[in-house]
Amino acid sequence: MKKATIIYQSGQHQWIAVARDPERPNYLIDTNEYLITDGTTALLTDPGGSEIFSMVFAAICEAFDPANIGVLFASHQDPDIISSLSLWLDFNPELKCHLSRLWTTFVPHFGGTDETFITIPDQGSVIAVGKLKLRSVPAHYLHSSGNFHLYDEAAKLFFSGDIGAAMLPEDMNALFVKDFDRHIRYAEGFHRRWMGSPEAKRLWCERVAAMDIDMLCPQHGAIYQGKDVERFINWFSELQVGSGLV
Amino acid sequence: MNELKAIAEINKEIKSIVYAAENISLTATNAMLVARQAGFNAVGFSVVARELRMFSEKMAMAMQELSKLIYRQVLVTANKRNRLRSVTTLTRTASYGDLAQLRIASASARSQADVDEMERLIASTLRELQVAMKRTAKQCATGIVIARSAAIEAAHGGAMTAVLRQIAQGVEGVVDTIAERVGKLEVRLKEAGI
Repeated sequence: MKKATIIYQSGQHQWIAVARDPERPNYLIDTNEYLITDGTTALLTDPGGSEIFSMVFAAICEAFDPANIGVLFASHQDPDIISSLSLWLDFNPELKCHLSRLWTTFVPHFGGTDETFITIPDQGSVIAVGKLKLRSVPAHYLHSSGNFHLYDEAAKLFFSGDIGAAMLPEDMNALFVKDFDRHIRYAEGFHRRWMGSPEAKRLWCERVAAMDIDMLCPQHGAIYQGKDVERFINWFSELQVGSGLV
Repeated sequence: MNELKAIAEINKEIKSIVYAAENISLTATNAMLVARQAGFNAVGFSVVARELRMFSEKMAMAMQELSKLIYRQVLVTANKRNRLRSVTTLTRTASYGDLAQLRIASASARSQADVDEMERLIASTLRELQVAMKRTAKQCATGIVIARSAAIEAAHGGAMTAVLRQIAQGVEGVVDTIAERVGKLEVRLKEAGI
């Protein structure tokens, strides 16, 4: 089963990482979900695919009452991001889902109605979770053409969606990056192939480098913390992507 | 065979009946023209040919009605499968501890209620399908009688008797085929339980 781990806490403000499912079948990519809470209200980032709904829900129950999740955040439109939406709405039909304006007519194929979605404009938006003000940060074309990350300035935590993702072997199942040089080898192929635009990448690196970030939390693989955050941004900034060649 | 595959097979059957009914309509129009050429001797045949054309129109309408009912059944059956998947996932989720069970209970109940409602709809459409099929079978029986009458009337066609007989034989063959397919369709519907 997936495990819920508190990775940040300050009073009632928490980040809970839901990650690593050893029972997950190999044909499903492993995903990380993050629950950002402020007391009794919470936002869940990229809630995942329908196949893993039970595991995510069960893991959340270990750390937080899911009845208090009021908002979902979908970084983009992929099935591993949001195909569990209909099940989440079965659980709570009042849930709202923040999503790029590009995908609000696509994602309803997974579930939801026009009442469900809160459209994020291309330049981003501010998302309130209790007293917290989270900022959706544009990351278009990295890899989806309508793509957002989420910055929590108070916690200095940054949810980076597919950026920073690594396809790690079984013996590297730690929640945090331990050895950056070894880790990044498992991120390289993914970033080269999935990130479509060098210009978008440059802009993202500039934008994110200017933020105060303690942890960079991707949707797949391990979390970067401390100096590894800057290392990652520098590495990504140098990486050749978007050549259009396989 | 699963429900959706069975429905696809039934749709194929309906299309083949529609095609045969269209054939009858053409043959009947042709028969009316030939009867006109045959003049007074073929008045009876001409009346039968008109009846045949009406029969083919009724068959086409009946198949249209069946197609609509089948379409509705496909839609609800597909939705039911989808909801059943949710019920399965939610039931599995509820098995992961007390809080999961408590929180997921009402979602499970709602999804199960949706499935129950869809099953009621499926059952009511099934009843409508059975009534429509019975009506169609009766129409077919009438069609067979008309086709036989065409064969009888062809004998009074004077110089055109041979041609009219040939047409009557063709019509009889097609009507028999339709009756056979309608019979098959009834069986398929029973087998599929839809």
